[in-house]
Amino acid sequence: MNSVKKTAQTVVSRQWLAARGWLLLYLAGVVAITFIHYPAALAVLLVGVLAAAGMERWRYLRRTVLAILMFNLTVSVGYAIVALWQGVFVADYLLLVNLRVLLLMYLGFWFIARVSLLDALAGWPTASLLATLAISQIKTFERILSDFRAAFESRNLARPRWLDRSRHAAALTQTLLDKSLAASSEVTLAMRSRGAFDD
Amino acid sequence: MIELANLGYRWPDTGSCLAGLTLKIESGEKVVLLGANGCGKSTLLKLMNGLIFAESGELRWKGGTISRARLKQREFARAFRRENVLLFQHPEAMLFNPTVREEIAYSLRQLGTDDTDGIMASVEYWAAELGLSDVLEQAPFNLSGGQKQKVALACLLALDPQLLLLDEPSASLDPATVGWLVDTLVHSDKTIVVSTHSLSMAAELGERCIVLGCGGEILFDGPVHSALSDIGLLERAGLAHRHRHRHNGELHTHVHVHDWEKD
Repeated sequence: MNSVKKTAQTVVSRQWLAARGWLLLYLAGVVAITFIHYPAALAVLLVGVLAAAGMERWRYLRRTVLAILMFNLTVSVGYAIVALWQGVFVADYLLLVNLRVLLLMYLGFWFIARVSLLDALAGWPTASLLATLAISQIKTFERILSDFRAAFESRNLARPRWLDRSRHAAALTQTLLDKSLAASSEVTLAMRSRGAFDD
Repeated sequence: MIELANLGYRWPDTGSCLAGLTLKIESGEKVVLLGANGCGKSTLLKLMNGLIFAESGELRWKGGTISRARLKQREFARAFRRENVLLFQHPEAMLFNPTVREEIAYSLRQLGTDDTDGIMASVEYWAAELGLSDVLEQAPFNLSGGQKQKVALACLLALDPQLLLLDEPSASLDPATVGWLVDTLVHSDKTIVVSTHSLSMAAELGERCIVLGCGGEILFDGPVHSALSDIGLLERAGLAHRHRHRHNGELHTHVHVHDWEKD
């Protein structure tokens, strides 16, 4: 019986160690990428990461592009307009920034998909607590998002107008902010009730 | 009217599933979908509403198969979404217009009619029916949970649907409003499928009851009162629990059903 328990403990410890190793590797990768200032080197790295990511590589890429598209587009267009107007436009710089963000974000999605963050943070109570809170918030938001999407699809007999889409997006944002605020208040009260602010 | 043939579905993240569901709901039936939390009631309703699609088996609506491709055909989708409607468990997910009036009018406008007076008459009628006349110019977002539920229901009823799917409709309602809802549904001539884990609501509402097990399988399909009098079935479905207490020092156990008292 003891040997079974010991084997189980060993397996769990190995999982934690592996997860911790991946976390350290990921953090090292993030730091390293910020030190690379050549677009060509970043592009080669991106190809390498894509090759290493396995069968799910295109799903992660799609998710990454969707996540950064609006922000990067806004920043890039803004930069391009101002830089062209001032006559200091550098295409390499624009490429560098976009590639770096793409690579960092891709690594983030890949890491989250492959490694349990809670395992990786096991042994660091404060970090584990923060990760648990963040993950529970994300799960709640995922459910709300999926419900809103399904409800919108269900209620539309025809293709919705842009006005309707924007109203729907506003309602969703308002609900997410509301839930976020309510959840934060609840968590703060729960932490206070458990003596977290008594020092 | 709607038929499930060996329908199977698995959620990608949790791995929980609905397994090989086969059932047929005829026009005008009132069906209660009973099951514990997380057994797949909401998933089943979303499958029936064509919002998610089964991995195996077939869903038939008026004899024709429902698939992603079929719902991309605009005319079919328009008719399907008008006839087959779903009241979500959290009604705020359905509400996004600036006023209750516009919210109720939203889907009616999408029918492609130019009859603005007819749309407004319908809005006024359903607002009056559901006690919403006083809040027609208010933002749905600022209403109470019960009022939001009523607005969402008014939006659906205004379409004059044939199949009304309701996901835990009593969840955000006070007892008086639940009573009103039960009365409304019982006297309606529409086909209704209501998911709930409230046994008292099931007793009042349905003629037929489908009990889902914790593994997403159908444990029972038959008259509501037969299901509610089968304590073993309710225990298996996670709707009753074994209560332990002592009588004169002797340990005694019996199955306890919380919100349902047999006559």
